[in-house]
Amino acid sequence: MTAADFIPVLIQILLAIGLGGAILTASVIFGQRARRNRIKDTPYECGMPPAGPGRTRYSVKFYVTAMLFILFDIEVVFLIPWILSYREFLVNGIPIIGPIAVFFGIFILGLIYELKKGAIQWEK
Amino acid sequence: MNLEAFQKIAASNLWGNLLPEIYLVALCLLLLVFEMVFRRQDLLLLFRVALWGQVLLLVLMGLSYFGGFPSGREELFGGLLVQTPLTETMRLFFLFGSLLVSYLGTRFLRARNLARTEFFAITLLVTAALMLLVQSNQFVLLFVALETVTVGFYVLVAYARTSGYSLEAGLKYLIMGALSSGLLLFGIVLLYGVAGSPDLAGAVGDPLHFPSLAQFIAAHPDNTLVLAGSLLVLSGIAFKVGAVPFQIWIPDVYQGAPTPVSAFLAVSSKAAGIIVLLTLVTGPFAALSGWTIPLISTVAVLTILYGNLTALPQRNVKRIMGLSGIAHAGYLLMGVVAAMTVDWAVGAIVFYLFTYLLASFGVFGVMALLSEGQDADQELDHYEDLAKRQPLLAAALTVGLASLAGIPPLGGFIGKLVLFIAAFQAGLYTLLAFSVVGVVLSIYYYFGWVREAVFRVWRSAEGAGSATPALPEPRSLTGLDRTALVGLSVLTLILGVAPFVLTWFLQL
Repeated sequence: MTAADFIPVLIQILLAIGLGGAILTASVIFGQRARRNRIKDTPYECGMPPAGPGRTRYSVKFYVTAMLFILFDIEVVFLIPWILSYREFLVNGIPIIGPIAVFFGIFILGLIYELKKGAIQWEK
Repeated sequence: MNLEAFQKIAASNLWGNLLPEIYLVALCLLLLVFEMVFRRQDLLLLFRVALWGQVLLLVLMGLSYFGGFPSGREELFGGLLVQTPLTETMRLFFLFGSLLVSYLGTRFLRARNLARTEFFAITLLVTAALMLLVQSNQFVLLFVALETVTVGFYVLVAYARTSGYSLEAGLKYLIMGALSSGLLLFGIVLLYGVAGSPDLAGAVGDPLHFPSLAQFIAAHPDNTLVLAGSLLVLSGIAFKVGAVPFQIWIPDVYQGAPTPVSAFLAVSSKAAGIIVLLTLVTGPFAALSGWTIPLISTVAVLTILYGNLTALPQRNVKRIMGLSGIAHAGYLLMGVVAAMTVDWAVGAIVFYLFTYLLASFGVFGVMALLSEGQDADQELDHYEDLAKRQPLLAAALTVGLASLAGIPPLGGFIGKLVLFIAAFQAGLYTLLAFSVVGVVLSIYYYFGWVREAVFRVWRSAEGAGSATPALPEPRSLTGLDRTALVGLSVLTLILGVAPFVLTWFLQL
């Protein structure tokens, strides 16, 4: 591949930048504007005066689930090429069942460990 | 599908040669299963399984050498791994290190209310990865092993979650470590791109494989991308070793990390970095010696001076160990430069690493035993009159520090001596002069510490130490503590006086 082959990519990038810039500029030029003040900048809470800070910390409970999802995702990445090739490997006498068994053994052990540790329990 | 290539690779998958690593990972999993089965975290049980499991591995490896210590060079797993007497020795080194870390960790965990299984599990996993790291013969495996080590260390450094020091250390190590891994990976990518590019003459089939890469670099030593890539890879490794200008994380991380982890970082992590650097500069980057020799020499001089000069005014003992550890990395870098021209210098480096392991663990062990877990702000003043209070600890401390300073007849002296002779044979006279200056400087702070602990006879009532908050009174030493400390000191002495040990190392 030569550099000339990448010109469409460059055009795409320039278009994206140009479009984004144009929309932002247009909104500044043509957009309606009101005078800003403290009261206008407060968040609207059904007419009630806002209570408490806007940024609060809260527990992201699904982070363990997200981590487990990534683990299973990677496992699928390993599994699909394995399924596609294991017959041919076996016919030619290349050991392939053992390694995947060990991989899965460790994997399932990890899953049980996570469950025992209460990774899926929502309320604790 | 190219089945013949797969058949060839499968034939070189000699799992038997990886038994120590497999054993360590299995032991790690066993510990986690133990935690699942017995819900209560029985420290004594965990500790016994971890410690005796490793002792058993050490014995098994020892038994396997009755058929003769491995000699010669063997490539496994389609060239991913290479095993030599050097890597076999480093395996023993790392196993020994993790054994001592597990032992010190028990003391630490007993004093603090922290999760317990994970400490041993991660230590074992990191050790297995360290073993793989020094055997790796291909950049992908090198990177994966290095990341396993580093990620394990991220957790271990921040292990004392309730201590601000430990968290600070963990954060700093995480950010610095991620940056250095990024540098390393970017360097690898540049090398991969340039060596695998079909547009360049002499492109090789597997550009990540060290011998193939060495072939390519020998053909194109002046290529800009080769230059940039190898420089970035060397920078990434220099971060792990703690060489100037990448040393800035060391004092804070060593101070904040739990003492066993500081020792682990100081000894095993640094040793792995040095061996990887050695593999790289004598393997794939051998053709670049025109600029790697001056570069690493300069870095070594700066590292030695920085470590020793900054350690001089320190009062915090963990910072002293961290900063003087930078200086030791400098001497080892000198050894690496020497090893590029003098073959037997490799043995000198490994011998030096062993003496450093024994002496460092002796000193860190005394620190851990004295502090009972509250260890981040341990000052020299806490060591006043140690010889009266705890004669055994004071003796072990003195032997360890004297060995680090390089006083005959201890192992540290012989280690420095052979390293310096190697540098002399390699003709690195300027570097040698700076190292000698560094060693002289180091005697000041090492013996300042010994003086605090052993010799100090007079002090004014409102002297330097009176404002320091006292540490909790240490528990009495158990038989195991005594055995470990005496054993380390005796081994340090043996390395110093028994010439056959040195002869054996120099054959590597």
